[in-house]
Amino acid sequence: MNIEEDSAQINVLVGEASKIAVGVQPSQKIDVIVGDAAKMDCTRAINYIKSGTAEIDKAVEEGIEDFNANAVAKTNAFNTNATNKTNAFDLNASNKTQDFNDNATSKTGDFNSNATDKTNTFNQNATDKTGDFNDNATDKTNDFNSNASDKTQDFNDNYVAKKQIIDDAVSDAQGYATSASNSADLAKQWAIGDPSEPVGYSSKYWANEASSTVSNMANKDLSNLSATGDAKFVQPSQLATVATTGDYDDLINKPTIPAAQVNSDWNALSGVAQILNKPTIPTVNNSTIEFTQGGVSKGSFTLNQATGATIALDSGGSIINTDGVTINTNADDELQAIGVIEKNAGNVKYDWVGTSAEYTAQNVATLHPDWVCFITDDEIPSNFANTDISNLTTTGKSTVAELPMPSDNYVDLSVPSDGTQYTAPANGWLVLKGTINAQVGLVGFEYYPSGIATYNWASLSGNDVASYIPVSKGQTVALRRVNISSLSTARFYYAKGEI
Amino acid sequence: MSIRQGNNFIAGTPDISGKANTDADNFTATGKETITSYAMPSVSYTDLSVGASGATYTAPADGYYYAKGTSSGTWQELAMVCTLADGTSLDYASNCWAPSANDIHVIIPVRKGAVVAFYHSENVSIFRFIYAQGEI
Repeated sequence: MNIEEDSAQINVLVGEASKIAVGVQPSQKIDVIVGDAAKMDCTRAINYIKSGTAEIDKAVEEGIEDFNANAVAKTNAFNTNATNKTNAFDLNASNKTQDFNDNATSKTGDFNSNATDKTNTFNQNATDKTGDFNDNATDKTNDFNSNASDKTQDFNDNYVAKKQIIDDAVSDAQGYATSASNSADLAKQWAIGDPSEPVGYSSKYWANEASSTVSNMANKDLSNLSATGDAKFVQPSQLATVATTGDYDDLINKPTIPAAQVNSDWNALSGVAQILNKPTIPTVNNSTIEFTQGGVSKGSFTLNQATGATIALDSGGSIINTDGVTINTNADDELQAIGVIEKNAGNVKYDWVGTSAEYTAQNVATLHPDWVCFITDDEIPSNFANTDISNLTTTGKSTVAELPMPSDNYVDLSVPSDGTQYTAPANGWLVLKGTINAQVGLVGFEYYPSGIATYNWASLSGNDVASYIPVSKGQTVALRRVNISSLSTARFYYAKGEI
Repeated sequence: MSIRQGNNFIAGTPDISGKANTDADNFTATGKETITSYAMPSVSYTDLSVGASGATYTAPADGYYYAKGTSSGTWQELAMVCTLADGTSLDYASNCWAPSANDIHVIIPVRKGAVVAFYHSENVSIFRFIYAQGEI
């Protein structure tokens, strides 16, 4: 049915059609329109639908245009992105390919170089080993040949010697066999030869000879002695008593034995122990005489004197004693008195006078510790400094003034950081010099622990700054450097009095 | 001439061994070290009251004047000037500049009786005379 025709019989619009027909919103509750209203409203609905269709068509057309425009933009963006990505890929691929090729080339070069090195090393090693092997094989072959030659020579030598021994042994054996055969024949002859025939000395012969001899011999009991033989024996009853007892008292005609001897006694005044005609023995003393040289004992011996004495040699070999007697030796080593110095007996004012050299040479101070000695050449000089050091000459004052001053002797310090402590090894001076690397900087010193210090500041980077301080031996000083880029001098200068 | 009994000098006879001469040219190493040490600063000192800048001080002994201050200006200076005996001429001097808020230290050696003029700002924390080791 075509509802646009007037003839269309539309009596009822139901549901959504009714909403469209009356132009209400879908949320409105109109479910049914009936009769002419339905027909009338249906026309409105048709117009509305036509209008909606036109809008839909327009929207569709605009949507298609938007879609096409969007599709073009998206396509262009896609194409641009794809192009970029493709270019990036191509660039990356190119780079990667180049890297790969470079790496492959490098690796190939490394491999070839390594392979060449390894091959060279292998060839060199093979050559070396082959040379070693050949040398070793030659040495071994030479050793083997030499050894085989020696062994062969030894074998041949040994063979000859052994063969000679064997031949000698065979010859000896053959001789022994002949001797044995001859001995056997002789033994046989001796054993069973003719008993009546002494020539040949058979056993039977000697047996007959023994039998004839034994028949005239006494038996072991001497019971078959003849009367003549029996008379040759003495019977026990014929012997003296002592012959059977062995007792001294059974002897007759015994001698008289005197009393036992006694020892002689020096002190016995009578009797057999007394010693007659004894000598008179003089008294013997046991004192000692000792020889010394330079105060060192050289030996001693004892004399028959009641009192000991000492004969001393000084270090030069002269004999001296405490009484001042000096005895020297001449060229023949004979003792020779060269003079006498008498001991001060109270009649002189001194014991010894001489120069300092003589005093030293004669060792008077040691040998004569109590002697009063006049030294003639040690006048006291007038140029001694007094204990106030107030009489120094100009030269002397200059010398003393110079002693604390810095000398040219110094030790370089390890480049110190700020605050490094240094203990002075002697009296002297510490010096620091450096270049600042900031707007301001300083070098200086601080005594530790008192804090007494000296600082020198400088401004503007690149300028130099220096400082010094006197320091006594053993004083610890902290070295200061602030904003100092480099220290050109860090030294301890010894004072002149320290060198 | 000297007189000895054995190895000992008899009283009244001085032993000349080990004596220094007036030219001071026979000091032993120990003697030279000792004299050298006498000139060095000792640990003995006397703290002094700080007078007005430019005031003078007479050294009581051989030693060193020492001062410590703190810079309160952009650059500030401590200075000591030792004058000649007439008290008018510059003999020698020691000074130290430091940027603001930094310590300044200055030390000058002086002989006994020397007159020293001390120039300073108001920020002097230490002003002292340090005796030489030969003075203690």
